[in-house]
Amino acid sequence: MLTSPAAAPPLAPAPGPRRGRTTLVIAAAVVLLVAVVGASLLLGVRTIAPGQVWAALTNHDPSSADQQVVLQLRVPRTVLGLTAGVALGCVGTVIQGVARNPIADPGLLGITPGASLAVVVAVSFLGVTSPLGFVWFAFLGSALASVVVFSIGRAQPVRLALVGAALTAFVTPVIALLLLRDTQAFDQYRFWAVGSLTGRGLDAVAALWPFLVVGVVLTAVLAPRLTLLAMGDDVAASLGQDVRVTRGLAAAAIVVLAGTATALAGPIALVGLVVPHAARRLVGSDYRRLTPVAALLGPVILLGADVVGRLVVPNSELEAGVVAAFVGAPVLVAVARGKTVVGV
Amino acid sequence: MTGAPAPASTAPALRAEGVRLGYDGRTVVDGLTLDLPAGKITAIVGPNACGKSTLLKGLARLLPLEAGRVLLGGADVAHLPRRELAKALGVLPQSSIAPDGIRVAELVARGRFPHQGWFGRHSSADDAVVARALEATGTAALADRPVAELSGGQRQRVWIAMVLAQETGIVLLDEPTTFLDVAHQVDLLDLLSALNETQGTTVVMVLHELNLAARYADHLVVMRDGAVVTQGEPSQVLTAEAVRAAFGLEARVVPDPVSGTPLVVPVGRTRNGGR
Amino acid sequence: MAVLTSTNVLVATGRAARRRRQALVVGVAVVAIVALGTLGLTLGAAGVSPGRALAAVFGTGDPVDVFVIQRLRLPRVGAAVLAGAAFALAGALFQSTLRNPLASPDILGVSTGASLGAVWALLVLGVSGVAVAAWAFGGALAAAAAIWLLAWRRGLHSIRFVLVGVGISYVCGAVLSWLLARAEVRDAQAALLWTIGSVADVRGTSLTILAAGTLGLGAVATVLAPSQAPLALGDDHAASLGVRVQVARGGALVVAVGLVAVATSAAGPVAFVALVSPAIARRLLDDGGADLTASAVIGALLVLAADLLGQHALGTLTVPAGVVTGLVGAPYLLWLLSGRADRKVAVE
Repeated sequence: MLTSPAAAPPLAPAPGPRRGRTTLVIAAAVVLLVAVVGASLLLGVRTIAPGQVWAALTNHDPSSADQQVVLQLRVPRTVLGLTAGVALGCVGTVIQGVARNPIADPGLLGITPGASLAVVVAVSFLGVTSPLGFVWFAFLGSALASVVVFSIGRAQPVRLALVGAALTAFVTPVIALLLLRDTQAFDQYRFWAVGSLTGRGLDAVAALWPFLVVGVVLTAVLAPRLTLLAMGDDVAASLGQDVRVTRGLAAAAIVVLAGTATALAGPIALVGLVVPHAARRLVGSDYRRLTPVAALLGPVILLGADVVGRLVVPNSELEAGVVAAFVGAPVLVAVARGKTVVGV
Repeated sequence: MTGAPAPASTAPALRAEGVRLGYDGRTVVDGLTLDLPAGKITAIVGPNACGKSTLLKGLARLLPLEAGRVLLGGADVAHLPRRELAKALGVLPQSSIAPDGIRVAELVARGRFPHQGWFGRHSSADDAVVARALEATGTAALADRPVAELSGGQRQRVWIAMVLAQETGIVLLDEPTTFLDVAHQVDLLDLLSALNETQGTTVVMVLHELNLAARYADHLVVMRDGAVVTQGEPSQVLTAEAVRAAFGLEARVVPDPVSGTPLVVPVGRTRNGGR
Repeated sequence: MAVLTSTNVLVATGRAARRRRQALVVGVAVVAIVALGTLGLTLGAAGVSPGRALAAVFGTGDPVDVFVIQRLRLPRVGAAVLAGAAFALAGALFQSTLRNPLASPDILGVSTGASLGAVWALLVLGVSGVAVAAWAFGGALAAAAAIWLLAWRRGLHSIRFVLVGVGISYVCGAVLSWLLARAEVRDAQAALLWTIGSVADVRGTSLTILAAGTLGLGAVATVLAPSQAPLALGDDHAASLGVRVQVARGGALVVAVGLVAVATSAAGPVAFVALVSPAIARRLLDDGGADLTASAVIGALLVLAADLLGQHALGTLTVPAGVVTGLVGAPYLLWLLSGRADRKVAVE
């Protein structure tokens, strides 16, 4: 009964992404991620022998300065990059799926700007100075912005993007105004705003990992639903899906994931936008295959950007946020130039 | 695609009772009661904006009822779990989007969703159903082609294959022949007719083309302004008076030289041989 | 025949009604601009009555009045009107030619490119004055050229343009925050000030350039306008109506980018005017198309009002126009979006 490949006419192109290919892509992404994690531990402004890195992780000698650098600096930023990267990869995928919009990402929807405003308010009015303090305000800001965007945008593609633009336009001058009046706050904020994996330690990850777990679980639950939603509300509903439940779950996932990512790494541009596109190219449009790939590619790009940033400038560093933008932009351009782009 | 043919009983497959439907407070269909016979092909016809697509959406629970109820084998559709409804009733709406880059077999496989568990793993049984749906619609040779590359006729067949893969006893289709040339229209209706005969599937479709509706339907529903003008066997129902009442069009109704079913020939104001 | 005549009348009255409505909108906006402009001349630390202000405009009356009006207030009012019109016109052109209500210089990276140019000039090159404006101008053009080149593939398609524009905007934004983080904090703050649009200090040469650029490009836009309406129907329809699609789109984009570059280099990226003015015009005219003239006068009115509010509404606290446009424009757009029921309901 099964259609044999022989039934296909000779002009049929090569078979599409299949389970075998997805497994291959996931395996490759895992290898890449392990490599990036390794590079993140091994490479930096300070040259540290691989043996010392290994020793720091397995048999720590507190007197060794090299080992201290590994444990105090490189391990935290690696863990941070992993956590924030997974959150970014997942949130971009969920946003694009629920908004059915190829340019949707937390930045464009005004969620990251919302987080930024909350951080500025915390710094300039509430005197919050510790990175761990920023974390909660960034989280709160993301959540509030998501609520505004989704309640007014009602998950309709163009509306969502317009509401996001309006929110961004509202927030950006307020931030600038507050910062112009408060030099100290500006000094604090500007380092957060670049987007970086340094400055926040493992305590931030320790505070936020439950949210990441919730977000990842929600993303997994959403994957089959988003696959159907991609064919239109009516088709999804006729296949037995309650579209409103999907939208509600997606909004919840976006709140926790965007909040976690922004709280940990600051406003990182383009990673959330580009990762789902890249994953779609690799394994096709079924979110059940797309989501795991995106969750792996997110940390690969973010952590990879961080490692590159340590190496490009001699004796200095370029923040992950800046490098990520330069890594993401060519991918976005490639996506935009490829075949037909639908949406918006 | 369900194994057992529909029982010959007279119980309707789907029954609308006092249904009111509308958008944003604007009522389109009001107090409509309608039986859709089981194991038959029903065609709903009527002028533009008469509420036939709205009715179809209401029957499929794609649009919430403002009043009344829809019964599926005696059970109120509104109280059925969505997945249960999706296993009994398949819909091909007008607004379907083929996701970017998706291939035919993958799209058709998505019709298996209501039968799958939470994470939707495909079993070999699912593969067999998908293959049958592809073969039934003559799209097996296209299985690996991207949907975006297909012609309009092929694409419509693929969407119908997706609905078939859903394995429901009832299939609702909203203007499935729109944008198809006459050969593809006949082709598609033959396909639905064959399905109805071999599987006993209840087919309900909104159609624009009156003569094809008369030929292929066992049961014809003529609507106007959100209400049923007349319904029944096409040869009884599709008269010159009915066409005038529903469409405001003068027409002759003659027997179709091929099938003997009613053939509506519009008179028109010009080029009508001087009538 | 009788039917035809009455249809004729219907068409003609419909067109006349649209004309009247357009004239009314533009007329009211112009009156409001004149009124607010006059108010702008009279308000301030040195209060000047409208009569004296008008005299001072023409160089007669009290020498102090003449100085205050001619050197300070008149340029500011003029800059607000010109920059507002330029941004709004650019927004209307972007939106109609790319068929996307989101297509505005703020989102497409043209404004961010200008900001990056200016911040680069201020922080890295350490220049000031007209040189900063020149760098902003160059930044806007470079960003637009980059989008254009990267999005071009057998023609210019709107989705590609928007997608690449968003990418460019993010890259410029990332570099900009990096520059701000690297610089000495006071310098960075000064640069930050530039990234909020303000018409407070647009005088002399930069005002002349702004005026010449806006009026010149505005004239070109008027010439291009007839080919823009068919574009709104889609590329194929436009082509079948005899519009050379790529030429019409290219021309409109060049003019729009030019307007943004001119206005941004003079006043900085005044937030949101380009996005919201055509939206307001569309709503007031209610005929589906963003009229260029109506968009321009509404943009001018918006920035002028924003600047006056920023100067005088908060007592001693003065706020740049770019803050006010964002603060007032954004909630307005949100309200507009939340209030509008979905009209795209198909009934069959």
